[in-house]
Amino acid sequence: MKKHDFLLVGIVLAAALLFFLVRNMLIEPGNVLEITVDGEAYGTYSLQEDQTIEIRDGNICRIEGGEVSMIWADCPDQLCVHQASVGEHGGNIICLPNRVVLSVGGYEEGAPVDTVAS
Amino acid sequence: MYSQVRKALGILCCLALLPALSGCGEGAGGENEEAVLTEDGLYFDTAISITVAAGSQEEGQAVLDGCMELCQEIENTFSRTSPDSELYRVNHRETDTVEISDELAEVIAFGLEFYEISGGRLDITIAPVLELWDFTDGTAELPDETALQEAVSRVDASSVHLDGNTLTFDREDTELDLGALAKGYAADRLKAWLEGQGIGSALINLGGNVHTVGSRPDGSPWRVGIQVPFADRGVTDRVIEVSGQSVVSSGIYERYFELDGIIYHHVLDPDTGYPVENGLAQVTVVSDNSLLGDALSTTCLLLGREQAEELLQSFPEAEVFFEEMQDLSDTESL
Repeated sequence: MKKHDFLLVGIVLAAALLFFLVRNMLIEPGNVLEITVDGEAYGTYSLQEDQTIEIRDGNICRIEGGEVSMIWADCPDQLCVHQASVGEHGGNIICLPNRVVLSVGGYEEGAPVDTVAS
Repeated sequence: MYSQVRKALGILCCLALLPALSGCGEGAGGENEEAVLTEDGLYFDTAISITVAAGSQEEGQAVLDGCMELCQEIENTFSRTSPDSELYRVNHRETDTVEISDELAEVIAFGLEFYEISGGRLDITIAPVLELWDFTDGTAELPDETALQEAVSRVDASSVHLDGNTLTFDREDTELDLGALAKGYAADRLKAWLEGQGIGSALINLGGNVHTVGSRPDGSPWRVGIQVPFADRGVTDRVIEVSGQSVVSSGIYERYFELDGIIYHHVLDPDTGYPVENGLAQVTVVSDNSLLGDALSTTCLLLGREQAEELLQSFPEAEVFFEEMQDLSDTESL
């Protein structure tokens, strides 16, 4: 009985470790926030600039101190609002009901520019 | 035991599903009624590019056609080299006093004002010196020393007087060049015209002199990369995000040649006739007004960093970035 409990704990821990490793491999650090709505690019913002961004009528996120968090959403579950803020280590905040994805990754230097001043 | 293994497998499956769940979000694209059009052209001795977001393809094209017409009109006023331009007629005048258009008067007045505040460094009578240098023909050749000194002796903006639309020259041999100001002026004119046409989102690039109307069509700011001095064209490190502001960079890397290890560039000292040497490679100005940005960036480049920073205290509305020769990656904002 006890042996089986250890086995269970071991398997779960191994799975958690695996999940963590895979997640870390997939997440790219960066200082650029990319917002998509319904899979379509909505905008790209710098994490280095504190700002509040309204995303359509359903969500508002805030960049402050190099981290982004969802500060308001009109969705019923409010899961995105309760998600931890995402900083330069990269990651996502997702509002499934509104199909809004905040994704941090990549560095500003490499990000595309609209034009070049010279 | 088997039930517990199944339980563990169940948890594992749930964990495996999580990233898949959070990864979804691909869906049908939203409608995009706006047409975003870009047109390139050759004006002001350089390549220009204008992008507008309009309600329809036809409207966008009509607006871009209007922009190109306006560029042609401005060039017909400010070109130093085209025999048909108003400036050419002023430079080849027969009398000491000439009546000039409002447009030309506005820019000359601005130039004379900058002559004062720059302590004579930005001088719109530099034309005779400019004519002796050729940075674009591919050869690395210095102008004749005697000719250069003769040209320098003709440079003196304090001998030019503007009263309303009446321009008076104390000297017969004074020639004006508005190259440091005309692109900024043109960018402001284009922006005003676009706004008058009801355009809320546009990007103007006149040979590296950038001005913006509103934000990008998606509502995010325009992203303007700043050319890394002496790197390949289009290589940027700093990105400036603007909505409605102008971004102007002036640098010694734009037009230059190298001779015996020395870089001879187009930012010429009105006192010596030779390129200025003060350690600055590039000055970038972010401001609401592109004419100001154009004048300030060139003036700062002429003054050198220390004096430039002093001058900039009078222009708190402009954000300025310096790039120095000694360490091209060392930057600082004011």
